[in-house]
Amino acid sequence: MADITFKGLYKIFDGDVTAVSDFSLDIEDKEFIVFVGPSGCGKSTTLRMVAGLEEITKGELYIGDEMVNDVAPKDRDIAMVFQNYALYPHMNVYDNMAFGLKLRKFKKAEIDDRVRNAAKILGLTEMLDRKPKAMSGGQRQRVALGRAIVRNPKVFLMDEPLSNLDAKLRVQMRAEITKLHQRLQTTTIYVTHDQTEAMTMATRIVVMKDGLIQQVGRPKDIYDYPDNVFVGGFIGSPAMNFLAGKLKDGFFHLGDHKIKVPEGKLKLLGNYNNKDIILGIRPEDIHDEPVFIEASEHSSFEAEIDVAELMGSETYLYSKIDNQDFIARVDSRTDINGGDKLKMAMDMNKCHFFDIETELRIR
Amino acid sequence: MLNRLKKNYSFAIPSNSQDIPPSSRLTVTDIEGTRLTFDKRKLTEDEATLLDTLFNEKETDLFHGKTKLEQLLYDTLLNKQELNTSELENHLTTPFRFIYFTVKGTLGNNEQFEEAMKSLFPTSPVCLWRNKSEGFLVQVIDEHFEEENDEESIIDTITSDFFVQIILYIGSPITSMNNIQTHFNWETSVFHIVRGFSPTKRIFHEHEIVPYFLLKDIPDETIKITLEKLEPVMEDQTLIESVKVYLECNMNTTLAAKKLYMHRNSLQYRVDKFIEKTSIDIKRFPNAVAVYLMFVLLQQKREL
Repeated sequence: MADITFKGLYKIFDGDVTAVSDFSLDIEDKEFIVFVGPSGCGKSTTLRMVAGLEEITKGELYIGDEMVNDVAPKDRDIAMVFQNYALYPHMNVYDNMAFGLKLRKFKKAEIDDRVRNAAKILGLTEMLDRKPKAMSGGQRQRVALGRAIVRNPKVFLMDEPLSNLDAKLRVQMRAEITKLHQRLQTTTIYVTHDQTEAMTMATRIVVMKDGLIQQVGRPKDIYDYPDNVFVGGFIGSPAMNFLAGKLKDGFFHLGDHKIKVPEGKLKLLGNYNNKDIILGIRPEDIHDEPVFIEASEHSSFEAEIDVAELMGSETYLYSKIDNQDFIARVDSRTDINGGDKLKMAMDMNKCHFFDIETELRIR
Repeated sequence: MLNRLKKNYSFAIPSNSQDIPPSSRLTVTDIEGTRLTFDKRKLTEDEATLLDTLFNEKETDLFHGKTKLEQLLYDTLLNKQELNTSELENHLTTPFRFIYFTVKGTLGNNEQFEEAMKSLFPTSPVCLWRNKSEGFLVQVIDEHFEEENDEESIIDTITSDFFVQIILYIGSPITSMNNIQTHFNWETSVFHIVRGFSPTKRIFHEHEIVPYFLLKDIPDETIKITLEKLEPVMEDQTLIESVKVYLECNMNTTLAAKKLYMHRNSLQYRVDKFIEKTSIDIKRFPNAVAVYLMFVLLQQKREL
């Protein structure tokens, strides 16, 4: 087990395409850290630099106390799990799990011990003789995890390991990987494009975009206090609503609508009076309950619902204010249909304001 | 480099390396993979040591093959000896195909790499090495052959065990032994030229390699003029990537959306947006081909 330190890491392909810029981060021993971001944001490239599969253009990378920039990948004591199951189709589960150990010249008895132990942890004991074809997607991915576990590495590197699974299995495997981490306590870097995976599995999340770290923090902190518009919009489903308007004398003006800004928030907006800013508010912080609306006279408004999507326990309402789209997440007991007019109110204590130029949260 | 060696050490280069005993062979390989075998008995000890140190290639079974078939193929394909069709036919049935690989990184153990590759490409009786980082498999297409649908998975399997990156080219089937040398030379040359074309392109499949080959040396001015058609979307990388995946999935929106982790309708919206902005209707095959080639050019410029 080990901590991992990135000091100003860069990856520049062939001198002109910068995939990762100035990546600095300290990952503590036993952490489960998730790199999340859209396609092409540099998360997999960063992971591959840790694995040694991509050369580091600039910067220093430490695993434990050792700088590993020039250490061969096989000597870094890491194990990788990929989106593809990465199994040998004509080997049974036992041989698939044992192969990496055979390569490293482990003794037979040690191999057997490790494989059976990993199989037990992953619930694969009864399937050791099976070939991958005779297994479900979830079982195959468990074998892939087993191939990594048997090595007992210092660090697990997982690159979108659940993306090939269907939605139901993904939820199940998410929990299994979390439990596995709790049991093994191995430092893990997990790459995903899926913000739900990031939120549910990470001890800390690293949000990336265009090769740059946008924010690092615990899932709740990132959700509640996004550093910029990108993070606010990327983390959370449905995404945070962003409404452009003007701050004037303690009110946020959205066309004809005037929404009172709470004192606490107003203090932070000292330099922004009479300026255009962006209001960010999560869908669940727009309410339709009469009690809330009554108590929020200065943040209530009426809007026509374009579409109402019943999701089961909740309903997503798609609407517009000042010709800008927003989504409200309300209790599904509300019986609303497209075309209805509805009074709603924003919980302004939960909202954020962002600079319209830099898109950074004003704080 | 090897030409100079050939000139200076012509006295020590046998016309046929098989004519000298294995213990007296010293084989060197340049970065292009061209091999040259010396007769050590005709070199001084210092000369042999120097050449050995500089090129660090050992004449081992790794390069010459362990079985009769491997030896035959080695001689025919790598040593460019005359094709003995009937003998080859005694050991290898048609149809078969070559699977070429390039390894980036240091392999600890070539034999286990071969075992892994043969396991990933079953019905492959042969794995031969051109040099330390390049080789090929011969995969027989018989009743036991199964088309692998997920070659990306093969690459990840190798990476997770050997911590190297590989680039693969799965060649097209060979049905007649008479064509073996021509076929091998063509595929080898094309793969040699296009591999490493893009940092993300890890696998080439049959004739998919041709557009990469054709576009490899296009003059900058031609590229510039061609890519002007993409100007309206050039800044929208997400849109370009989505449309690229859509084209690679044979314009199958459902499949492409799954690959991009997005809803089918969202991808459909992006495809329509691309058409609207560029005025190129990529739902029509000729237009789709043109845009695909433009994307390959973009990739070449490392802009994707």
